[in-house]
Amino acid sequence: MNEDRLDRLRGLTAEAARSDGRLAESAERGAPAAGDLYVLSQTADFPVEWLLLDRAPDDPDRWLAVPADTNPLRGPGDLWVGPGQDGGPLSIRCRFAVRLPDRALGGGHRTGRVPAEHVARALEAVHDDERGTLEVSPLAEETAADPEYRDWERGVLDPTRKAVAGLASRQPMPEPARPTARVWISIAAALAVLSFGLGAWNLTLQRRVDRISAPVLIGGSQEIVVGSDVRAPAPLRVRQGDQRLLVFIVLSNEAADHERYRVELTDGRGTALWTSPDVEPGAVPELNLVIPGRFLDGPGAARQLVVFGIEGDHARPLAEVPIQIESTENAP
Amino acid sequence: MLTGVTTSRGDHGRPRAFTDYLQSLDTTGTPPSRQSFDRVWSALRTALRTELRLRSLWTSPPRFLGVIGSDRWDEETLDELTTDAYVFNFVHRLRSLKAQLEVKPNVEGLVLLNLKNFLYERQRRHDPLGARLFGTLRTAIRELVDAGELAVSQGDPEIRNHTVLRFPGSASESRGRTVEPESAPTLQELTADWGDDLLPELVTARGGRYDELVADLEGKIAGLRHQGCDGFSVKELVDPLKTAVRERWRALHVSAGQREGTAQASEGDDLFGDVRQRYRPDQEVEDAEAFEKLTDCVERQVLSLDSDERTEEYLSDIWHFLRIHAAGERDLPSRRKLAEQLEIPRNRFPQLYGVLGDLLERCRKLLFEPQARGNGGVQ
Repeated sequence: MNEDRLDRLRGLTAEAARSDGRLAESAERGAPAAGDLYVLSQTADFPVEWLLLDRAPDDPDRWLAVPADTNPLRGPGDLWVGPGQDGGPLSIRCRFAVRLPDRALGGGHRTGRVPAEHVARALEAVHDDERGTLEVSPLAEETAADPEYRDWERGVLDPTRKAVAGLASRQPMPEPARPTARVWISIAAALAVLSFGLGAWNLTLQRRVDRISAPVLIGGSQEIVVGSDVRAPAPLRVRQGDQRLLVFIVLSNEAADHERYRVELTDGRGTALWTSPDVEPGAVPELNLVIPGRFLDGPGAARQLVVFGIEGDHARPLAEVPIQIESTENAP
Repeated sequence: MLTGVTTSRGDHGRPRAFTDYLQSLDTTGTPPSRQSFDRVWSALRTALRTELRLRSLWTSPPRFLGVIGSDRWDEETLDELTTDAYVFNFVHRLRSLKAQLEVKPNVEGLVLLNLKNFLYERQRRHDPLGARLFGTLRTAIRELVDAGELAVSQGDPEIRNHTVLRFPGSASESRGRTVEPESAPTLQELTADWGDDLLPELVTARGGRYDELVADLEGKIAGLRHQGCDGFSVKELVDPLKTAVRERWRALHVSAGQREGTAQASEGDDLFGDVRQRYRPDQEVEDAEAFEKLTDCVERQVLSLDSDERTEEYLSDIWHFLRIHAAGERDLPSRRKLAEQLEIPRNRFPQLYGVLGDLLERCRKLLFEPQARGNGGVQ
């Protein structure tokens, strides 16, 4: 990266940090007020802040509040605070209003303020939503049909509102919960596979692999991705008679924090044909694997790759990937 | 033979790289140290690269994410995207990230989530056709899964590129793995003509018409099982389909010199030029609000016109076409091709372009000239 760009980014960051410091300082003063943004320990599992709009008309001990987040997708009843404005960029989700008791704010932190004009618009949208008269713009309607937006509603906004629903009751406040696993980043799920030992057959084959050390130019490659989004990646396909199979094993962000990795090639019964040594990934979270054709003999022969993450002495299976060996007779 | 990509790991990409960086920033206006910046830059770049691969964008031209100058990802284009992603996270969202640190031990996951949102917005903006196709396909598959006509056999049940699906009761399911029958046509062959059927509705349909489009796509996918397909990964289906739809879309486009009736087309050119100018593809994702407001305004104005239903539909179709077209093209297709594609009589275009031009100007004044707001306003 060139030095000018680097300096510019560092300068922008410094200015943003200074501006944040000023906002945080001013937000710390005085009693809670309309326009204040809060983070609550009860919703620490979700990437939201709460915007206080007004005292609830039917209960002066509670605040009418709406969640706000930094996802730029905006559907029905969502308002946008731009990046140049106080508190922004933020999407204010007016269809997810709650009544927060004052005591809920005691377990949270005030984190900023939003300009009064946005608070007024949000309040109006909340009331419109309650009355069933919320006007939905054509673009918002379009976004509402977007599966990414629906995922956000279902995975973040609905559970966030549920998480604070209990606070609306007059029961004593529970102790603030310690942050647990975050829902927006799921941990790589373990798959139920067995770890297979290194047998004599495996050793024989490994010696053969060691002998294949001449440079090789390969015309095509395949890729598998290991991580929580792709617990069991799509099968690899290879044609009978191919000399080699080159596989890029991409470690998704959720699976990239293991100390080392191991890959095992098994037959259809789960017997290990070859086991790699434990390998540390580099700065780029990928593993490159070359499988000689002799490991993939026979049409219909069942083969499988098992990828393990290694921590200390513990090998954790991360993914198992079938390899389909196709007969050349099927070629178009 | 198994290898890591480099031999040493270092501290890059460790779980707290982003959190440590944020916590190291002070509020006095002192820039972050070069060392801490380099560390977070490297971690961000790595995370971005991984996301690109997960979304099958690594093999697509960078222009689909608004990065121009090269047809493939290289050091320079990746640097450019990383710069924008850095600003998105550590300049624009710095306050929000630091706010979350008040109640969370770290924000590593949140930065990654921001990256996903950043990429999706970029894709929606610079490759609206591809993003819309993927979204529509995803909706159709979800409906089929909910109805029990398709089952997720591997991968993310939320339906992502690497999700593998099977038709319940298919031969491969009973054997527990996907095996394509001998001589079965490939998925690419089976879906070759879908692009023709999906356009122009993929671009123009809204509301009930969009629901019909999804239903049509569901029917096509469900029909695959009767054509020898037992199962497929989403990526296998979406990649050839994207290619087909893009080719079909590109076929619409001819250079200005090739079109017939240049004088007739000038009205449309003016309108399109205006839309393109306001669209400004070079803008940051978050500066695009003005165009969104304008779009909303024009669509509302179309709906409130005192015109017959068909004219309203024509106007809406042309407007959606212009919006999508502005993301990637500099010129309009010929009127003949546009008429064929949108199924609008050619002789209606001058009048329709004229009405849209008036609406655009009216909205521009209402939205961006304060003195005009008193005369009716925009909702």
